[in-house]
Amino acid sequence: MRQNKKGFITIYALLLLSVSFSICAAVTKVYKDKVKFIEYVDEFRLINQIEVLVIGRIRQSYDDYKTKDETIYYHSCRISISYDNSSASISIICPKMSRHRVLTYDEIEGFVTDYY
Amino acid sequence: MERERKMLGLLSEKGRSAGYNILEMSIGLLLLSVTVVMISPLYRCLNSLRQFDSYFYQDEIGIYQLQIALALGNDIRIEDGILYYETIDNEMTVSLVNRKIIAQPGTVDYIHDVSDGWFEQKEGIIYVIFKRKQQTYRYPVAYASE
Repeated sequence: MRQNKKGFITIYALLLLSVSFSICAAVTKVYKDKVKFIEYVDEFRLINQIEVLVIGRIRQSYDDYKTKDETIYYHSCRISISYDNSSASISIICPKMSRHRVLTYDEIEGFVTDYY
Repeated sequence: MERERKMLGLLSEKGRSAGYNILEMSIGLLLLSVTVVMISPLYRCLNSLRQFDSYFYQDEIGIYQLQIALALGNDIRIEDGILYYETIDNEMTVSLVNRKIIAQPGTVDYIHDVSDGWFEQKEGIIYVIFKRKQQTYRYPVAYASE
């Protein structure tokens, strides 16, 4: 094979190669960021929905006088509810995020008095 | 001799060394085609990312806060598109005020920069509906009180 005087890989080929790699890297980064963001938002929505449903469940438990500690698995999340008289501790643990709350319920009035 | 070569359409050694051989040309074209092919998905990715406008995440958080407030509240009801619910201290109103969906008293902002916003109940579920930039958004926020 005949060799070019400028060398086999010319400066133009190197330039194109670097541009290709740059674009490839940019596409990969944008794609990864997007996937990560969508995954985060999905889990954020899921954990929010779980929290809302758990609040409803705890209130129903107080109204029915059936307060009993429980652990529930929903999708890939572990939900623990533990009762201590008028307070209920909620722990929701999902793969990428977790949330811990305490709900205080006034059984006589039927109102949530504190939530943090 | 050189003249004869030129007449026959053959390049001189000098002329040939100034260009690229077929292999270099092939690699160059291959890289160029890869680059061109990559531009399209990059554009699509960037475009779809741009669609997550600046309000997207704010709305998500606002809806979540509203859902929690309503889950903790009592006697949720809707009158003329305005949402009412009770807490242990107050009767709260959630409505559109100054392009924001807010809860009063206390002025808690949930959704910003909306041209219109109201609540409606359908099949036991309460929805918040709002308009922004000619687009209508609809999110479930609570179960209706029985």
